[in-house]
Amino acid sequence: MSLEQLIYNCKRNDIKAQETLYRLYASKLFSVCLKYSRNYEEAQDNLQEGFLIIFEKIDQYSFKGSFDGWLKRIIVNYTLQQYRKENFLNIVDENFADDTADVNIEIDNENLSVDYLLKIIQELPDKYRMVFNLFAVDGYSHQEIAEMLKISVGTSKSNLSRARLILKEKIESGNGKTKSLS
Amino acid sequence: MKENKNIDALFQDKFKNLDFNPPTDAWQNIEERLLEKKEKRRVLPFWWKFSGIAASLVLGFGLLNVVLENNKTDNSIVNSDKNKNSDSNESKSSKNTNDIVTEEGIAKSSNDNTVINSKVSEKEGLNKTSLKNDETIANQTNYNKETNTNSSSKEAVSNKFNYKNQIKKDGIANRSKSNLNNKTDKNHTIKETVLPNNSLHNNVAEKSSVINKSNAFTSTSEFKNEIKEEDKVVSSVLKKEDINSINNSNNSIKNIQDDKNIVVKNNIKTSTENDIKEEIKKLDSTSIASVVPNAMEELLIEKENKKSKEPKLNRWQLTSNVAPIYFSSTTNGSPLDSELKNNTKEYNTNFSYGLGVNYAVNKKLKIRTGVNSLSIDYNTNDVVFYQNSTAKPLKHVTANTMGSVIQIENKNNAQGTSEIAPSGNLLNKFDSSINQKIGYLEIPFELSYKVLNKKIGVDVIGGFSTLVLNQNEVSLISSGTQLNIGQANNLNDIHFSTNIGLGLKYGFLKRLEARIEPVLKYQINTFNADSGSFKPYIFGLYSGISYTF
Repeated sequence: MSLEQLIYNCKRNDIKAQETLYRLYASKLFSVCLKYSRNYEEAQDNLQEGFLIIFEKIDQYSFKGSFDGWLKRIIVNYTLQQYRKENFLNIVDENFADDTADVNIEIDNENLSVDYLLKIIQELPDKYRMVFNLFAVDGYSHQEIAEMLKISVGTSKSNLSRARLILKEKIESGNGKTKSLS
Repeated sequence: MKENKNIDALFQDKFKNLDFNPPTDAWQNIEERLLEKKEKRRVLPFWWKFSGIAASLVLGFGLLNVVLENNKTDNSIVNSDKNKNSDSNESKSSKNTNDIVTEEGIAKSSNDNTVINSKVSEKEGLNKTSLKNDETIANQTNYNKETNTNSSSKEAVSNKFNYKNQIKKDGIANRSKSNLNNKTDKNHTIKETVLPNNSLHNNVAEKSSVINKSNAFTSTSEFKNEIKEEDKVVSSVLKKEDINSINNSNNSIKNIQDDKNIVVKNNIKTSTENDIKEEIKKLDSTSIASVVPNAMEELLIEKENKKSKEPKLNRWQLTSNVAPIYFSSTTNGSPLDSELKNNTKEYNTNFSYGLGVNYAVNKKLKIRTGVNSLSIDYNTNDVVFYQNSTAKPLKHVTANTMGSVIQIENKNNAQGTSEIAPSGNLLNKFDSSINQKIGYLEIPFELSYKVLNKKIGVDVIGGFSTLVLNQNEVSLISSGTQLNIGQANNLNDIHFSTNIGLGLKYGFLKRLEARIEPVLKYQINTFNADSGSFKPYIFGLYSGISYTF
């Protein structure tokens, strides 16, 4: 069955097709959730809710643009919403936007596990984590991030710098220690 | 091995092929929720409609209540005015002003009401006189009983003028009327007028209550216009008033009021209808507005739209065809022998089947071709045959060995039921019919144009077919047995037909659709020689399934 046919069947709320679609994309989208969420459990919650939204909104997918991208955006969108609404009271120091800070890091690439990187990303404060993921990993611009998170461009930049700093610190201090996790 | 790396690049790199399987219970949770939703969805439409109707009904009643509520307050205010006026007429004004203040406070004073009240108090003096006048207009008998004697026509005119002003300034006709009523009330009992709601119970005529209702709609310009028009009439009446008696003017005013009542009633109808419609609209818009558009989602959709291109047209379509074929001729005649042209023909229904390929030139226009197997056959009735070694075959039939010893005659022209052979034997003639069977491979070339393109589509089809002869048989049917006697020799190996038809399709899947196409195919040059003025056509009800790719 082609993807198009599968989507078509999902639009008709065919539970078999929905399961097939889930199996096809679950791991990829769960990885996205892991990046954007605080921990494994929340990542699962976000994945589940995200998929329910996908099945609800799949009727609106008009075969324009890539389906992968569409799915990912819904998941990211939903996850961002979760952390955005819980943290609107967070006070962020906008003055800290030091672009000249050293963003390079000396690492032992072989020993640096993905699990560890995920862990330290998840430990970041919500706004830092979201901005860092959106900017550094998924390539959104500060302007776009500002609109998505309803913050200013300055805040976005400041958050990014802080996120980088924290990550750098953590990698340098705990480099490779958690390799056994993977 | 240590290396220097940009921290962004590091994460990008490491997360590029991130692939974590979600916990196994994740799908179970999703499935549970999906099935739950399905249940809900199934239940939903059942009461959804009714709830919609109920909601609009509740809304309608609610609206009506609001309107009635407004009327009540209006009435009470008017009544308080009445009290005031009537009391002041009896020179007890000091007490009553207090009463008015309290009553105004009690009344749910909407803006309109307070405005009216203030206006009323401003024009208290005017009302005094107008009341007197109205009284004279309204009820001649009451008037006579009153101590006020407005008998002179001049006064009556000035009173009328006041009346007119009141209508203009207040924009409410019923004030004067209720004042009138109030006067008459006063004539009966003073107590009644003190009660704020008594106008509803009292001799306030139905008309006045209708006018009261109209107070709620004073904003409608139509109504105002009506009142203005009325004013014009009143004023025009006033001009002639100098000479006219009070009775006459009373009548005219009454008439005008009657007319107005009708108009007002209509206005109320339309305005309440409009209000309800508006309310329903509001309800709809609020329900839409409650789904708060997500700014980010909009942004994403925008982004998506920028990237997207036109959806591609699926140009090719494969179709299957099965059709019952009704074969007939527009004229009498026989392609077998002109002798048989007046014999009755019996056209049998056959089947055509085949495959087709369609190519969409654009969204509307399609080129269709393919190949169909098609066979037609018909019987020529009322012939007789007998065996004869010197038989002369039918004109356009090349007889086979069997056919060459069978003499066929038109029953209508046959002489006797037997023939004497040269040998002296008696040859019996048997009733029979001749069956001609013709088969073709049909290659259509048609254009179809979409007239309607929904789930159900309608096309107009036109074109021509090339038909290649692949079956040619003439046989004799007598008492249930069929005997092949040869084949027609006047059939073209290739001939053409012009086709015209209508296509109806129903798309039951995205790529699959069922079609039914009644098509008429008029045969152009079936016969190469004398066809005995036989002009055949076929009508096929083509049906099939199309697959788009």
